[in-house]
Amino acid sequence: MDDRLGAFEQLLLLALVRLGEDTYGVPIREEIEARTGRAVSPGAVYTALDRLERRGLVRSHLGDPSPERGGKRKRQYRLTTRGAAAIGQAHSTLAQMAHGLKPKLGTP
Amino acid sequence: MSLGGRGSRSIWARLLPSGVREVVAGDLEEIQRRGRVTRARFLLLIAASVVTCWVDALFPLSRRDVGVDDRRNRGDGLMSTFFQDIGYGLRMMRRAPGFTAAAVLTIALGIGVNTATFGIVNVLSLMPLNYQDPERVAFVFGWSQERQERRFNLPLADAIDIGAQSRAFEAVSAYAYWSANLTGGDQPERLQAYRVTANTFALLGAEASYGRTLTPDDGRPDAAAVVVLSDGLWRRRFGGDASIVGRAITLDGVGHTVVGIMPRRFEFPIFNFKGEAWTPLRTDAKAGSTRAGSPSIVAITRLRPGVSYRAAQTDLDAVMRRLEADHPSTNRGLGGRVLEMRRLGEEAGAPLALILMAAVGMVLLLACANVANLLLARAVGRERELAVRAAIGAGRGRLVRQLLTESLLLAAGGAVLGVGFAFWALDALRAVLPEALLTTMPNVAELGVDRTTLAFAAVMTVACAAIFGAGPAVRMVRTDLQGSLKSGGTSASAGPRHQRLRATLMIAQVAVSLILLVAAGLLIRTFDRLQHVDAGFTPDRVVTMMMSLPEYRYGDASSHQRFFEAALGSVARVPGVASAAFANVLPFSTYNDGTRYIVDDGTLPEPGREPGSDYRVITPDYFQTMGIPIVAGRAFDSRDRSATEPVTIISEVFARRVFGTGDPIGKRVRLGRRDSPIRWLTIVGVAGDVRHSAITEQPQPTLYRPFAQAPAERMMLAARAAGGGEALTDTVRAAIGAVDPMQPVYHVTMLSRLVDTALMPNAAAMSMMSLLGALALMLATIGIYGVVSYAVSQQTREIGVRLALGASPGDVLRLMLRRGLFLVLTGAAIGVAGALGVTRFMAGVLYGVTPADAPTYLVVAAGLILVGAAACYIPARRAMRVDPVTVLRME
Repeated sequence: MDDRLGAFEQLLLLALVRLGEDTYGVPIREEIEARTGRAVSPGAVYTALDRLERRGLVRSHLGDPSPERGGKRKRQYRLTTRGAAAIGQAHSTLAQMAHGLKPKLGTP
Repeated sequence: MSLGGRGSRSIWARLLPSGVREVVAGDLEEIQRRGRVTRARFLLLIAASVVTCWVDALFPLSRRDVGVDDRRNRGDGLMSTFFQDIGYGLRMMRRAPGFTAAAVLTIALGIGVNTATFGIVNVLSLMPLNYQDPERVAFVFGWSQERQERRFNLPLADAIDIGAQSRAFEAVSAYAYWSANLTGGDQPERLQAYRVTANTFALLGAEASYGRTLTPDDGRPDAAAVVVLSDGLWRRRFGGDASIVGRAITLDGVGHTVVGIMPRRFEFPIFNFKGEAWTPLRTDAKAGSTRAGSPSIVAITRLRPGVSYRAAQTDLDAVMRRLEADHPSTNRGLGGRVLEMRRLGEEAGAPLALILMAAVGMVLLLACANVANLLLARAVGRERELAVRAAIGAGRGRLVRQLLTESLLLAAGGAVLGVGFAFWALDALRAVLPEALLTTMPNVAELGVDRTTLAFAAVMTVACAAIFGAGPAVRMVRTDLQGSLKSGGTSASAGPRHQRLRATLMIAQVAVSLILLVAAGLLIRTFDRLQHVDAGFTPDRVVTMMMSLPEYRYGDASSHQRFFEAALGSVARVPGVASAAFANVLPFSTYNDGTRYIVDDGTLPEPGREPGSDYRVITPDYFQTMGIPIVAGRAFDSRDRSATEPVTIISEVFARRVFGTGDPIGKRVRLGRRDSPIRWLTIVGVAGDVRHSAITEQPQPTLYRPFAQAPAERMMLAARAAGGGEALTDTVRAAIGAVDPMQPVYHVTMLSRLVDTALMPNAAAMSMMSLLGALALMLATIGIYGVVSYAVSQQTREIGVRLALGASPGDVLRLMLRRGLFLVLTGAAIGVAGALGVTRFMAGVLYGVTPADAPTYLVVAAGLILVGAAACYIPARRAMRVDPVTVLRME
């Protein structure tokens, strides 16, 4: 199975690694926004996670509602083994390609 | 206020697709509660989420390829594979531009003519009248029990009584044609005005766009004179200035206060000249007591909710019987008929409209057959592709769906072009609509592609796709795909089953186009016959116009006589006018006048059973001007004055019906009923018969009287030009203006144009049907050509072998031609049988030709077979030129 990942998908999976078990849309969004400065809409987070779930890279279940969500349930996500492998693979691929290029790329 | 408030929260949440609403909305709400985003930013997040989720729901991204059945994803299948199919279909269309263009154009043709025709039918008979609950608005007509015939008019007294006594009607109103002179501007103008009972607007449920409509108070005998204007008149004459409301305008010399302007789409009455101004028809309380002098009006009504037309008719019958018993002298033999207002138009146009719809439907079927043919031919090329896809796991259902989606794409492409064509065609048509239609038919100004028409086009599109797509799709999938994979993709489809389907399509095409061509032929012959009908007069080069003297300036009969005689003298002096005359009504003017009469033969008809006749008041040169022959006795002349012996001229039908073979000259008749004052008229002449309102009607008995002995205030002028004609219009008009510059003339037109207008439905049907017949012939020819040339290309090998074994090229040509011609002849035979069955329904619109008219069938069948043979010959000749050596070497 080909588990190639898009850039945004990589960000999502890394956020899941960072946040641990059963996290959901709002913290994921904040994590990405805080670390990359990239504004992300809940809709985008949700649809991308949904796609990843259909590819078997994440798993989800409906969690409890809370008052601050207006009584709406949240969908909680966790990484599957395959998802972890895929993000690991993607990261190392990138790292290998980028190895020693820091001066040329001019980034800190 | 905030977006987080309980009330407003649900609003934006509802913008999200239902599947993701709870989760995404929950996230958004939580973000907002935490309060770390600004309001503007939050709105942006909502918008972005809505867009993203919808895009994802409608266009799910997927790397899976077409045809590979991914079982893991069965659940979300339908929508996403549909989009896949579309994407794939578009690619296929791009890859075969020639095929795509041919198919799309053919469908565009079919859908275009269907949509345009439907647009016309829609306006003429489907679009509801612009009244409140229009299906309950109806005419109440009189019904002559003696002649079993509808009478448009009723006495006002009867209308009032029906309104008071009937339980089926909410109300009854009445209108009477008025046509008033509007003065006070640069030029006097004749308005199509109506006097309407004050409850008319309430009955119709119509509101004014400025000011008000009429109220019951306006109908009182002592009420001030008021008028309601149409939108058209208001814009044309008063520049669309709303301050006209409350000001006075002068109608027939009397100041009328404008109380309201009606909306643009308000049209009343219909199937008569649409009104431009409405004033109250005053109804005295004592109207019932003076029945004999009660004015003639047209009655309309609104049925009570839930009352059927059948029940309303029963109720009306009871009321009319009671009135007959109460007022035998006026109401004997008078019944009533209630007719939904809309239906009156259907009576006129529906048969032709139905025939045209059927015809365009056939053209669409022909187009579908051609596209199906194209698809079948292409199926051969695609067999291998489909076999491969089936082999790697695509189910048959999935393949059929893919093929149908492609058909739908072709149909949709055709529909876009076709609807575009319809837009253009209807716009063009609207610009050239004849005056007669614009001023009488309801909704006709709305002609165009509206929502109903678009919906019709959409349904047509899907139906088309199903028709031309289903056969080939099922056929293709049913073929042995494995076999075709093995055989390297050559022509499992070229097998007998495919050939049979194509042959069937071709036979059907020939048959259908033959039916259409026969229908066109019959209409052409009808039109030809109609044009050669002797209407009883010569319409060429006759200028006609109408004038109506207002009472306030021409109060008595002698003033009418003075004006019209002076006007006639003035017109006669115009250079180029050969002769001129006035008549109360001219043939084909859509006006008519009638009378009852009693013959002086010692007997009296029963009360209420006095016979009727058309009634004409004419000046002496009328017969000469109109080219109506005097067959016995004399025409009127200057000897017939008011003081001399009262005389009359009768028509031939009148003479035959009343006097049989006897000589009517010198006999006497009187006008009116038994109890009318007796004034005998001596018959001095017999004139040729005239068809007055339709070229297809039988001439009616007619009584003529000299204008000098029966002056009237409303007359029509007929002026025959020595040459030219139309050019005279202005000078004739000026000649009348010279007699009285304040007197407007109207309905200015050529007599021949009036006749043409009466023939217009026939002319339109004929041209439409001829066009459709030509389209059908073209489509069928393409179809035949396609089938035969395909057969030739498939049988190249066989032909090569035959040639190699010694067949002459002539033999091959004959062989190919024989097959093609066999199909054409079969189609023609079926078509003749079909046409004999179908054209029976046309009998009502044919004239002077029977639906089974042999010459028409012969000419059409021969022509079609000839064209079919030519379409076979061209590809068959290619077969003759096959080089056996090349073909056999390919083996």
